[in-house]
Amino acid sequence: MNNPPSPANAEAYLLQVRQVSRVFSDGQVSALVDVSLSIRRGEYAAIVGPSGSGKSTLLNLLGALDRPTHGEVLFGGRSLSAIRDIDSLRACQIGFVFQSFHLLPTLSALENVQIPMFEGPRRSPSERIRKAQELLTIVGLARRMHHLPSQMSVGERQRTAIARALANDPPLILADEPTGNLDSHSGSAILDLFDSLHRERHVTLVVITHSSDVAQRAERIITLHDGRLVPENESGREFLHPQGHVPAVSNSTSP
Amino acid sequence: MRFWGIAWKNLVRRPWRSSLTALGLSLAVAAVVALIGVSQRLEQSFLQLYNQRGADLVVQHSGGMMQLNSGISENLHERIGTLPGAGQVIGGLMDIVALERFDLFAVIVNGWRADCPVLDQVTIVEGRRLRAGDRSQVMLGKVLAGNIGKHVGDTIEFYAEQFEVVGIFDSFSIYETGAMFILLGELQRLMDRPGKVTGYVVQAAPAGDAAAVEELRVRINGLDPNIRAVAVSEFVRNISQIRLIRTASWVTSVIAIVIGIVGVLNTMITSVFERASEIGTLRAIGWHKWRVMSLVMAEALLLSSLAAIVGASMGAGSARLLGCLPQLAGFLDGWPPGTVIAQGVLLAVVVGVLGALYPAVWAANLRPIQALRRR
Repeated sequence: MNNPPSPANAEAYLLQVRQVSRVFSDGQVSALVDVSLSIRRGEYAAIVGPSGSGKSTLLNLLGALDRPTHGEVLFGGRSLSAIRDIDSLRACQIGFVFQSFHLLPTLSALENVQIPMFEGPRRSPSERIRKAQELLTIVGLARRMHHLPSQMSVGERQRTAIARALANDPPLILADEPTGNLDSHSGSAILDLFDSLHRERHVTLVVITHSSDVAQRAERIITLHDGRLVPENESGREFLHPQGHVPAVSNSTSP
Repeated sequence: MRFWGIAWKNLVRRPWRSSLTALGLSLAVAAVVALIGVSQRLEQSFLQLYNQRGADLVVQHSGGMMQLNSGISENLHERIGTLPGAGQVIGGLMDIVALERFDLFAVIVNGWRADCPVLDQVTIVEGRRLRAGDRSQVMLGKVLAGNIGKHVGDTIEFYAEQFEVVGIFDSFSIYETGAMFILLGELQRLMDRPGKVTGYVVQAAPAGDAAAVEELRVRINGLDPNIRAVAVSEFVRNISQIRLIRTASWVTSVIAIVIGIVGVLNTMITSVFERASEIGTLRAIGWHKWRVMSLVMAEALLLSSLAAIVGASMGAGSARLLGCLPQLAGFLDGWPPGTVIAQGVLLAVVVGVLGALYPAVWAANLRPIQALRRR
């Protein structure tokens, strides 16, 4: 069905999605239908589409949090279904940024950023602390390292989550509505941070968004509608709302 | 930040719940340490009594389950003593009386012959030892005398008769310091068991020769089908009262342990259920299943270790305090054996692990995307 990835493709593309479908367990909801796409190394892509279009499902598949019903997802030329230690892949190769931050409430910013470092390359506690301090400084939280999430603003929490995503220097950052819970000022600061990460660290960024502000920062916009990929020359701008959100779509296919 | 630091912070985020669980487990550990400690201490004290006297064998009525109620002939003394390989033979009658006026309900009374070596082996601290011809005279152990405030020349009532205290003695054995001695004939009269003794302790010659002890045991058993000679350690292990206490201790302990497991299980299940989203986050960002399991187990281990320290201290302290009660002063002494304290600590750890096993497996098997949606 699918040709094996060529070395050249593996070199050029960090992610390849091949004829992927995702049907949820009741067998009635097709969240994704025959989606194929490739994302180059170092690319900054935004996935847009109305609610229920399958954006989050696609992100979960790209992040090895879920498995496709049909088709395959390749990471660096290797099929995710063939990778035995998928946890290590997530720990070392992928950084996640969630809309709701998902920081551990009992841990300070400095401690939250160290959490992914328990997996991946072996580091001593002092090395972990040094690395976390460095990352928090990059995201502008040098003075807030010892604060708990509850003592920080939502923007600071998202910055902490971004620092956490960078903990093991992954080549890929997946962000699910990273500015969805932020005011415009904080959201803009986060986008500036993404820009600089992309520019200076050359990470591959895949961002799910409803926001035109976010999508317009990306090099490429991938549009989903009813679980299908909209050809890129047809653009996805119509799904974007200037202030953020698209109108509701009645025939949702998302679970 | 270290791994155990995360576990600790998870525990202290619900300080009351964690403290109450630790307290519940502590009480279970304390019950185990105190009860089993007391039963083992009793056994050890008995063993020490016989060992210090150099006894190798104890001779009693065969099939006598309640040794205090059984009796054998006083005349066997000479017959055992003249057997080849027999050394010192001490025969005595024993009973337990209540001194209700003093709130003492289990005081050992030993009846010895006037020439019994035991009367010379104890240290007289006041008055004199019993002599042949003494009637209605009694020697009190030092602890007993202290507990009831008696001195030489005072009288004490038991078996509805008045006895004059003629001596107060000290001994290496807490059973003896909490007991009283009267002459064998007097006790036989009071118990209406003329010519009977509870049993004999027999020393083999040469001392310390296991083969000689075994040969002597066989010879004694051949004297009379109604008697049975057993090694001291076996005798002590099978004393009905000690067996009863030991069994009751274990039953109580098992119940306490089950309650402990249920307590830890409840706490850890509640804890992981309410943290499902956080656990999902850990799994999503790459924590392996075994590391998530380890985190939950580490929390339970910290909880149970805390409970072990507190519980073992409480248990040891309780056992020590019990020994200080006048009512028990003749039976218990000192701290519970170290092995029992170690057992209690180990038990807490095992309870912690067992209680956390299911929640840990549940947490490890959480699917990240489902868990993340729980928020």
